Amino acid sequence: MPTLGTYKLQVQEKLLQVARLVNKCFKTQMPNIKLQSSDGETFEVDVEIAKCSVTIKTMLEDLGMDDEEEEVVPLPNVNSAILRKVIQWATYHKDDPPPPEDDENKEKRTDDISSWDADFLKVDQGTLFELILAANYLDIKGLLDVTCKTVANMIKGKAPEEIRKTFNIKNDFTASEEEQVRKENEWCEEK
Amino acid sequence: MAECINSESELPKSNCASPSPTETVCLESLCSGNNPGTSHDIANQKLINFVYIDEAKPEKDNILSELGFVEECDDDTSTNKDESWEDCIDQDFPEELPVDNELAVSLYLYFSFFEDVSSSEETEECNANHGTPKSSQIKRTLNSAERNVRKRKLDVNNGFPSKKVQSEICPMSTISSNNQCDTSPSSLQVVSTIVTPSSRIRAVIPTKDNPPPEMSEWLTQFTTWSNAERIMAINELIKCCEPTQVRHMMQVIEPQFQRDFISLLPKELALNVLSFLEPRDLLKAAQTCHSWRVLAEDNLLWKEKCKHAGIEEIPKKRMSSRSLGAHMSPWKAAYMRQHAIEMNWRSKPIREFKMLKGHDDHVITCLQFCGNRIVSGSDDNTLKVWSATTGKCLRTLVGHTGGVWSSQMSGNTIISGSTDRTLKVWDADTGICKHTLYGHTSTVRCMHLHGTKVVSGSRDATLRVWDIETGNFLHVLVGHLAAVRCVQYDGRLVVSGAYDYMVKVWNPETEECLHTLQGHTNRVYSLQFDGVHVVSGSLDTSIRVWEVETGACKHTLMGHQSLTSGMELRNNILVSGNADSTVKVWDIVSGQCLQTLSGPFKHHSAVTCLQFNNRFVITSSDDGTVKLWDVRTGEFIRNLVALDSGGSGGVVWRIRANDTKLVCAVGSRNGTEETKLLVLDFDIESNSSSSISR
Repeated sequence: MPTLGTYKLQVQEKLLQVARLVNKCFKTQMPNIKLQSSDGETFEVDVEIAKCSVTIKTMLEDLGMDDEEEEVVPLPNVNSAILRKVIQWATYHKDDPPPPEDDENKEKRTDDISSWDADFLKVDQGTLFELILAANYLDIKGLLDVTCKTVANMIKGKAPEEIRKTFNIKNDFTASEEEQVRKENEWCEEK
Repeated sequence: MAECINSESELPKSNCASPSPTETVCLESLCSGNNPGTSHDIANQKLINFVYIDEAKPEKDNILSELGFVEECDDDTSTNKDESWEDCIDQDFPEELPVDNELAVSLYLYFSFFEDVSSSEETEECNANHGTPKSSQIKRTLNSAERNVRKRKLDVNNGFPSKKVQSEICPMSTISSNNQCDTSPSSLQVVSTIVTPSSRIRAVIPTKDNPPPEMSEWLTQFTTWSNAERIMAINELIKCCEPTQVRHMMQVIEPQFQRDFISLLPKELALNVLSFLEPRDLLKAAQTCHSWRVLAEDNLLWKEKCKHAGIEEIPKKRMSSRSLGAHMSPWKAAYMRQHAIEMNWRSKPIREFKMLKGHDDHVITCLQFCGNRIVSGSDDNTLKVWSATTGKCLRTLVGHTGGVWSSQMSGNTIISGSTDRTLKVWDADTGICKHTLYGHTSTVRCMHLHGTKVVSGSRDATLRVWDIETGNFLHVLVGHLAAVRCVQYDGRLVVSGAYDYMVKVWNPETEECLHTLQGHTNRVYSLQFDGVHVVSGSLDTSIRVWEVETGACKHTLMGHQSLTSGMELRNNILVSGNADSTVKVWDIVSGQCLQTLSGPFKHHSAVTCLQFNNRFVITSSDDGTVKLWDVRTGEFIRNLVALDSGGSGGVVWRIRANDTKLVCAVGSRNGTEETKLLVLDFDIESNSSSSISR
């Protein structure tokens, strides 16, 4: 028959155990990971955020990353300015549901860019270009989609000359080629 | 300067630690015009290196010696600048480096300038002179230039730095950056400037080959600065510019921030971007330049567009490589063709249609259209086989002793049902009656063919199953209490609707009635069956949706005001034509009415027949018109047929359409409109097809 005192002790013991468990949970749940850009800058990022990049996720799984180890993931194809943007995007979208698998039958839309993403992608074309490359390299489908959609929106509804102006493209057709291409790509409009 | 930027849009140079774009611009202008890989190029790189190194002196000497310049000068340069420089020039320029004379001069001028730039006095003068024409320019050969240099050097006895030398050095970069000059040293032309303080008028408007003499000096100065200094200088520069100059600056800088995504991205990423474009935008994109054209022509890209447009396969005939440009993607060609046809349906002037006269003044009761063959059945006891392309009557099928009221066609086999209580199986090519199927005791009013079996429904209230190849009677389905008006057969189950208000589901093999679908309160006139759902239209104005497995009524579609005479069901979308002169589009899963095809252009009389695809609904009516509607929006598009006799007796009894042709059975009961078939062609015309696919 335990006395009240031993009972108290037991309870205290249990409470401590719980506290330790909770502590451990927090520790193991939110480890950080270091990402190193091509120009040598290191970014410390929550692993879960970094894992929105399938490339990084696979790398960690293949390496069997240990929590205790201070491992640095080198990203030789992404410079610090772009990596900073990518991390900013991934942090904002960390709680997004996983992107749906590509449904071939689904009509591809470009009018479904969230206002945050639209603001985020108000950057010069050079940056947008590098973001596409980075999203592709890091295999972040959501970012790749939204950046490609943004470029598509820059093309939509424009006449060929307007497209050239938008992207600084030189018209390298000869006059006769241009005429042929025009004919070939004539779109019958409703009258 | 603008050209520099355009020609070289990729930023950092390997030997300058991540310069800002502005820095690059200046570097580019320094080395612009140099042929890559020449020794000049290397020398210029050295120059650039040099510019970037704060402790310039050792490096400078290093470069000089590397380039084969004057080792013996090294010591002197540090001790006795003026003399040693002169010595160097005298000794080395003409003899030792005949090929690189030009370069040597450049380097010499450059370095002497470099020694010079610290002089604030000079910079000020340069600034003061900026933009004001002040000197004439003289072109000389290299030798004379050298002599000049020497002479001038000698003239300047008052030592280094010297104003005169400084100003004469300005064209330095012109020499090194002039492509034409690079080719042969003998023809080298040196543009140098003689400054006479009194004459400050420039003879020439500045051009690329002939810039203002102080410009290179000015730019070189710029390149010696740190990033922060440059940014400050740029800010100051912008401040002292006219608005038009700032605008020009913007025009020059803007392209730096532009990227030709489609040409520069890896192909699969470029295609990913393009996949978000609609066909019309893809066509515009293809017209921008060669590389865009190639990508916007990608066959898989267009295959996807075709898929969304419901184009499942590439039409094989005609659209072969013969009529197409060799590069045209077959899927794109298919899409373009389909679009052109759609436009023909929608808006292009309707071409003169073919008139296929026959059946005298009798009613055409049933119509089949498959491939190039049209079959019309009439209450004149005959059927006629027509060619859809020529409009000629190929065969008249004679044999029934009563009016023909139902028919089916598959390949070259035609089956007909008549008031003479028989079915007949015909060979469409020969016109020979292969079998006469006896068994029904009253009019054969409806039938449905599946494979080699046909199920017929009769006024005798029974259904019979026949083998059309052998002509054998297989099964009889007994259970209805009144005339069977409509039947559907999917090879497994038979569904029938009758004047006893019932719909029945049968297993034809066991001749067993699986379900009796009760609910209608009047005669059932029309049926659709997709293997899962049974949809029945009745004189009670309702349409009911049933589950074939359980026999449960899922939905009762209310809204019509009269008899639903014709229906078509595809992919859970039902279109129903009603005697109330409207047509409705339904979602049979939700039971919702999606569209009602009515409005100011609606039919004025009962809807007799309809057909739909994923774009259009075509409807015919007793008002003598055939109308085209948009299936998605429910909007009226236009009348495809409007009989002059419409309203005074002319009616359209039946219609059948494929992708490019519409067949209408028209006539009247009062003689105002002769009985005939109209064939309308919406295919692309041969000449317009060539313009599209050329």
